[in-house]
Amino acid sequence: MVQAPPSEFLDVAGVRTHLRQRGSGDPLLLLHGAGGSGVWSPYQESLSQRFRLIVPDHPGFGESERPDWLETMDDLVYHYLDLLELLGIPRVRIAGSSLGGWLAAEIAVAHPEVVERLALIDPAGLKVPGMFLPDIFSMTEEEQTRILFFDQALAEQQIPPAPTSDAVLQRIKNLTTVARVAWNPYLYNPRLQRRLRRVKAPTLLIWGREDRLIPIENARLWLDGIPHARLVPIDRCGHVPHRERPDELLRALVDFMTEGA
Amino acid sequence: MEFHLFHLMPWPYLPDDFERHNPSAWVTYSNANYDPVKGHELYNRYLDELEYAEELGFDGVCVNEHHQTAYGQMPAPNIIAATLARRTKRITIAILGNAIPLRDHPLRVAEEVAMLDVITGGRIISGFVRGIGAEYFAFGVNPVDSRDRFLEACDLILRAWTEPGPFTYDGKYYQLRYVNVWPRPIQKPHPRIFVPSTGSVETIEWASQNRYPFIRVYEVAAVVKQLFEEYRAAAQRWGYEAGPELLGWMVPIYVAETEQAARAEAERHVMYLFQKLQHRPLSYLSPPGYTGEASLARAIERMGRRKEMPYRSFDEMQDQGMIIFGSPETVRQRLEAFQKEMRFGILVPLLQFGSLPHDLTVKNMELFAREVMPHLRPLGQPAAAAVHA
Repeated sequence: MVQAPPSEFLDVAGVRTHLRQRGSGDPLLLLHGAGGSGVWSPYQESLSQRFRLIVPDHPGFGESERPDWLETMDDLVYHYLDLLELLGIPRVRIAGSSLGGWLAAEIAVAHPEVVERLALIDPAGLKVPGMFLPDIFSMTEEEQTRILFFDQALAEQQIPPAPTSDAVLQRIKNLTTVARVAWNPYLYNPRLQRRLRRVKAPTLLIWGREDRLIPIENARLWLDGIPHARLVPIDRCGHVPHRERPDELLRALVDFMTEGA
Repeated sequence: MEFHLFHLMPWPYLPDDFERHNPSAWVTYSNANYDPVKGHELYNRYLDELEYAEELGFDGVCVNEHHQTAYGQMPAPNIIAATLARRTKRITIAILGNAIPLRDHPLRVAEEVAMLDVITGGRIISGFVRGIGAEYFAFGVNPVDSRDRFLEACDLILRAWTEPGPFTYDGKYYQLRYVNVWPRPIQKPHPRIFVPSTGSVETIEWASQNRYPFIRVYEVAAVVKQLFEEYRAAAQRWGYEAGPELLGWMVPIYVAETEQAARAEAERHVMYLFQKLQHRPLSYLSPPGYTGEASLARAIERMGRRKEMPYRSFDEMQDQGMIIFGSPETVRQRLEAFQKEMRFGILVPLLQFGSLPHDLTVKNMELFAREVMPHLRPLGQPAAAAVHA
């Protein structure tokens, strides 16, 4: 078990923001999904050996404050532009999972010059016409966990038998922020698809082939929209490769992020 | 004591094994199971029951709003109120509804309720509710905005009723250059407001601040008592004493000739309400953001970490005062005792519930009106200086 880097709290334009950092070299910003940034994992530790890894909690998630004005994905984009300025990072590699992938893409669309390389891991953000993604808001915690994994035995291990009140409150806090930005339209921005042409950074899509929450069929929309994108599917993997296939994910991600470096 | 007969207009045709084979009576239970021909009979039967309340001497009737559910057939409560408006002459009609955060435009609600108030000569009680969590799935409305939209819509409607128009309204959700609702309500300053609620910290605070009567829908009596105490304590902070006229209790009641008869006739019908019509996943009660932060901690404490709603047997519900079944004598005694303890002045009896058929509903209404109501009348009188907010 690796020791997590110490918590840092930054005042980002008035928003108390929690983050952890470790490593040196090119900065890599890791944007978490709807479930939050989780505990510091061997996957994150490995990334920190190659990059200056920055793992924030989005506003309204984990230990970061939720400002009242936070209502849309757009608000998160500006928060991250502020955060990068505060850290003195003019250009950054970004890897985002699920909701964090959507956010990463929005940043790359709004300010393409800020993004060096972009990795989107099972990203939310687009909609295949007519396809409604499963509704996480109507699911029990157990169902929410199960749908993330291909390997149900692994899912089983992730279901806490009796979560603490704090854990329940934390989960509700995260979900509430997800609802705030993504209840309806559900997990996508109808304007994003036609804006994807603005992404300048080389882009890698990484997708669990067995993702049941955001099926890999969605990858086609991203590949069509982003000028320099390619797809690496991960076999026998659901929506959260960093939890189900961390080694494959790590390999794909490190290869891509160090290309041309 | 005021008596407002409540009706949910439930769908009574769910199969016996419904809850074993369906995840929910709300949102996802297919409307292919709705039979409009039976629905036609039901509406007319239920409306007859509501209209009969006037003859029996009730002060008012209450109509209700829920969406995409077998639980109740009144998604548009103002329509039900409209059918009652000219078929009744004396009683008040409380609309509990309107779920204003679900409406595209609060001014439409202001208009409809004002119309009803004028048509009835001032017999409308206007409830304002958020709707339960399930409604937010049914309508796709973001539950995170529910409370703020509710408060803003309330504010807009009340101003539209009370301030001479046209005036401008500059809210977060509604920006209007012209607010100038025709007709205006006949009651002054506006129709009486009821706030039916599960009693979140935020709602009690708001209702007590505005002196709106708070109506708690079925819950064990100890919790209702606690909520009434919270209301009274909040009222004191706002600088007044909350009398019984500000506190209401909605409870399923069944009166029969004897204890045994009450249970024999109506037990399965009330269990139908709690086991089938209220069958739904927990997530439908509290989608993210629906419950305010102040209430969340309390809810988690109260619910524990259960994954489902607690099951209560008939006996438990009887013992805990979640339902009141019995002979006229025992129903009187229990209500008197509860009143003494809880000090409410508005009783909202649910005399048709679940699958209770028409003949038993009528019998229940008659026994309640003749054998129970007159005895309770003198209880819970408003404080001398109290006026309806």
